[in-house]
Amino acid sequence: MKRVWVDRDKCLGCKTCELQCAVERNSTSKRLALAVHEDPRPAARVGVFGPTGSSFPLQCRHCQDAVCLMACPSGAMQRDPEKGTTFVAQDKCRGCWMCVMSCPFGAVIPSAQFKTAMKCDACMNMEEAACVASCPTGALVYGEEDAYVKVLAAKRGRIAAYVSSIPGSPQAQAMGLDFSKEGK
Amino acid sequence: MYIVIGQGIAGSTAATMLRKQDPHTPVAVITNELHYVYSRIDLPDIIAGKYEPAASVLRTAEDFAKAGIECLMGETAVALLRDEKAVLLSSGRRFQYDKLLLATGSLPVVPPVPGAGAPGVYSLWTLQQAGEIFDATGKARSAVVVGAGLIGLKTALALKKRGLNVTVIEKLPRLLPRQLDDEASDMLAESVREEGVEILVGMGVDAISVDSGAVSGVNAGGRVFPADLVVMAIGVKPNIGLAVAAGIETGRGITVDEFQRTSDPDVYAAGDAAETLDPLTGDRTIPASWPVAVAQGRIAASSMAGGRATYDGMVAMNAVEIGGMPLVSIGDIEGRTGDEVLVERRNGAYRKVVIRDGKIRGVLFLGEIRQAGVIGSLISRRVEIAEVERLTSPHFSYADLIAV
Repeated sequence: MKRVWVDRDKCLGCKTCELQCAVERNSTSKRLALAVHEDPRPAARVGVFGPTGSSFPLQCRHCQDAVCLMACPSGAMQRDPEKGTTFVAQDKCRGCWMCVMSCPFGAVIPSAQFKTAMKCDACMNMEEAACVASCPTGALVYGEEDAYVKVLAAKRGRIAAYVSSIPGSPQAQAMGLDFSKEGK
Repeated sequence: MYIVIGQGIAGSTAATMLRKQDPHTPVAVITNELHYVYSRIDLPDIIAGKYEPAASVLRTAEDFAKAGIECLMGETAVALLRDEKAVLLSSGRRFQYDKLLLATGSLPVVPPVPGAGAPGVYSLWTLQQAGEIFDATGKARSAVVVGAGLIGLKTALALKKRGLNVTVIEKLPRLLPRQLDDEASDMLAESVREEGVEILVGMGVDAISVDSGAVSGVNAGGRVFPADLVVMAIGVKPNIGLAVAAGIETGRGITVDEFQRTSDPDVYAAGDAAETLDPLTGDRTIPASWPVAVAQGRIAASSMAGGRATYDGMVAMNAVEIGGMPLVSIGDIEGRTGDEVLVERRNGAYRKVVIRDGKIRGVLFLGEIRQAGVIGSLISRRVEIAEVERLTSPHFSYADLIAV
């Protein structure tokens, strides 16, 4: 399944992805200069979290066994059968916040204005995800898991060599959204 | 043949899973609902007139049929004949089963007060009842809702939207007694009162006054509250009559093991009717929530089809929005002596985390609920928390859990 991947080493915490997500996916004007004046203010479905130096963009992981799908009592939280992407059917959302309660990543955003849940749908109906297209450092990548794992392995090998020459330097910190893959 | 009694989310999930896991054995769902499977959380909004009843449809008999599941609507299972491995239905039909799932859910509790059976006194648990209450609001002027739980408060606000004078009377000293502490209850009460609903706590109902064959008021705390519509919302209880009559082991609910199996190896139970072990306290418990019902329905289906997956328990949790206040409550939000309790009040929001022996045991977020799931998920993972102060910080996120 194609997903948005994050390379933590490359994230500088600039929040460009947040801006682009809000403008592209949640504003009526689709232009930053106008979007900032909109009410309600356009909201991003990706958030850059963590302190400077170890920040990274966090959005829906589209989990295989998604707890939000199990928790939704109105049938609003759905999975696209072909793409595997999870998304909120806004017309069915009743704002009960069961998904907000369940998501261990904090990826579901309770919209105070619309009283519905909002979250990343990986821009499934667009050519490229807004956050990926906007990232100036290439920290966000869209692609198949296999391809990403290869990139990760290559990178790990290089950094491992570097570590062996300079003791005490930090380990590679690239992560897929399944961060449990780290260390394998 | 697999028989599932109950069309709620536990039964519906189990039936779907059984069809996938064992495509060659017929699956039938028996339900006393007449039209379709619907989402219960829509009922107050239907009373408020916000949605048509049809907006609450989750699954129709045709949807079940398309999935290869036979759904028998308007049928009540009246007896479980374990010796013959058969279920007797209200229509007189009889079905043989190989494995049976009791997903019979809950029933509203009607308090034993005089007059509780009078015309104009309702419970809110089914779509039909919501329709009846909606119709009654047409000519009613004032309503009393007995019970300030989730259903009671949501119904009270819905009745207010229909233009009635509404009073909520709660026996316990606070609102949502299972989900809130005193401070959060006071905050929520203020929001609900701002919507124009009167709330009285710590007051038991003594009787329902009846005048010319219909309800005229509620007697409580030495006063009479005039009402031409009364909604009883003091809570629900597991619907276990069928299991009890069949001699299956029950406590407050139907006793099941980690495979959702009852004392009869061919009979399973899941959802609000099943009593399981609390993963943290080891007590027998009925979490009675939607995610639990889905999880148990899956495990029951797996076990019925010969699998060995186990239900490992889920922490009691609930989420709701009442009077414009979003709320998430997970685990032990009261805490006990010796617990570390973090509280943050900011911009009208109240956030509380209860920590015991270095591990999170409860999360209560009111007004601002984002990240509640991140902290809540740490409860069942039993993670030792090093930097507790971060938890209630407005900048807390999943990043804090993996930051180096």
